[in-house]
Amino acid sequence: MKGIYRNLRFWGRNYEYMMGWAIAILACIPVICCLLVGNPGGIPAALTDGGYISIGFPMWFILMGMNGATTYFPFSVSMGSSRRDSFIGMVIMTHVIALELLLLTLVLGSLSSDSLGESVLTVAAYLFLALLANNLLCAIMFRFGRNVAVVVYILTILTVIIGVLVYHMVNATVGITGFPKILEIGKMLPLRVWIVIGVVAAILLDAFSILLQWMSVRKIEVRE
Amino acid sequence: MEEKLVCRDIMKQYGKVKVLEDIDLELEKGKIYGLIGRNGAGKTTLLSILSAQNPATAGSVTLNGEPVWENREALSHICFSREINPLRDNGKGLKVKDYLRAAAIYMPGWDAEMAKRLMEKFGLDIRKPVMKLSKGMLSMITIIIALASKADYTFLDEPVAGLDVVVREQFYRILLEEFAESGRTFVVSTHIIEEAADLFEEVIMIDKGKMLLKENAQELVERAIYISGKEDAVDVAIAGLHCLHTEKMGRSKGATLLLEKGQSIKASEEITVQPVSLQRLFVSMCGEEN
Repeated sequence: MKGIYRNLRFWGRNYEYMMGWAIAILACIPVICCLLVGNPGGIPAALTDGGYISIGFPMWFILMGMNGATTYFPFSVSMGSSRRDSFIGMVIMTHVIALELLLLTLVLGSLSSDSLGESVLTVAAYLFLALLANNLLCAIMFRFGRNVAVVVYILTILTVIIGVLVYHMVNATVGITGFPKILEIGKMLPLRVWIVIGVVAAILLDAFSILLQWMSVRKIEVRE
Repeated sequence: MEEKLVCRDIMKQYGKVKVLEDIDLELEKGKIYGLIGRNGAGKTTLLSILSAQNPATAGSVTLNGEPVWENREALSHICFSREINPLRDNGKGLKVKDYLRAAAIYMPGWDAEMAKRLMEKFGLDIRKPVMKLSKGMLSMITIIIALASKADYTFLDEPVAGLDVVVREQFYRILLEEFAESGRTFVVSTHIIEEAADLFEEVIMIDKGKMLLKENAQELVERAIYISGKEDAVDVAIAGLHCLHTEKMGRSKGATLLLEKGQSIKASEEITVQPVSLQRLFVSMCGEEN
């Protein structure tokens, strides 16, 4: 337990530091935007709008996770930690940060004069997907190198952005009406059952991605 | 059980290239070992395997009979203070204080007072990013972490790289003081052999991934001699002896020898016998032309 405790201190300090920067930078964006359009009075509302936060935070989270893993994992091993303890500390703190982001988003959203820009489930889904992406990208990074992981990350972001743009363009012009019949399966079970299924699936996927990450990390080489 | 860090049949391979082979080593408590070898000989790789920072392809490393790999208890007794590269994994984006904080977290015996004292002595600013430090300053961080770790087995990889002669002398003095006070085991890898030779109780020499020798430094130097004189006389004198290196100078010849116990060569009118320094011995054993 001592080894894990030491790593929780190490990862907690480094990740919380990165989180602080993330919040500060993301908070500056709406402030600067309001000032640029000459609407300083809109700053409070802009700060509590959950819309951009729910997108910005997951992206930052992934970058933070990848950067942290690249820098701090070999660093902790070079300082005498076992790989297992450092990995456990890293995974625990990554999940703690994800929960903190979820809480922050919900608190900011609830303070907004409008209702939450995104539903609780959607925000949780975004952050879970970011957690999953972080784990998988870190696994790729430890196995194939940082450059490969960054390329995969950029390609994924571009694919998501293009996909969203295409969806909105098609919807705005042709209009997307109706959904595939397969989605009508959702009506067969109550929402709370789907939530339970979703949570279980999320836990299993998270565990699988963590396992992949561990298989990549356990024999990485620390070099000067 | 005698306290020792033992490695048996260590082999390390990257792809098809073997960088370490057949390494058998026992490091006893309370000694200063010098680890010397040419660039790329495998010194850093060996130290990283001994400290379980990197895995060996084959072989085992044990501390007091327990495997070191992923062994939290064993790792708490070992410190490998490696060279810091600001552009690689262990240095990117970090500041001096990050190193000291991490050392305080991970090293159970961390002596913060000693670290602070050494920081002041070397004139280091803890707020500075490592990317802005000179090679000498990076070496100072390595030294501070190694000495303040208070680990039973402390490995220093090229600790004096980039240091001026004044700081090097300071380091040697501080290391000896710490050794005298604590009785820790130090393994120091260095290229500046002549300066550090007086520090070493035992010398470990590595060349092309293989261990050439591990021996008491004083006894090793006493076994090494250089004889010179007329070529015929030298050839007669070195016959049957372990000759490391020969050189011809016109009709004269010189030879560096490593005598076995009981062997000796006496000077005469035709040949001169001189002692050989550790550095000269190393060059004779590991130089390209030998």
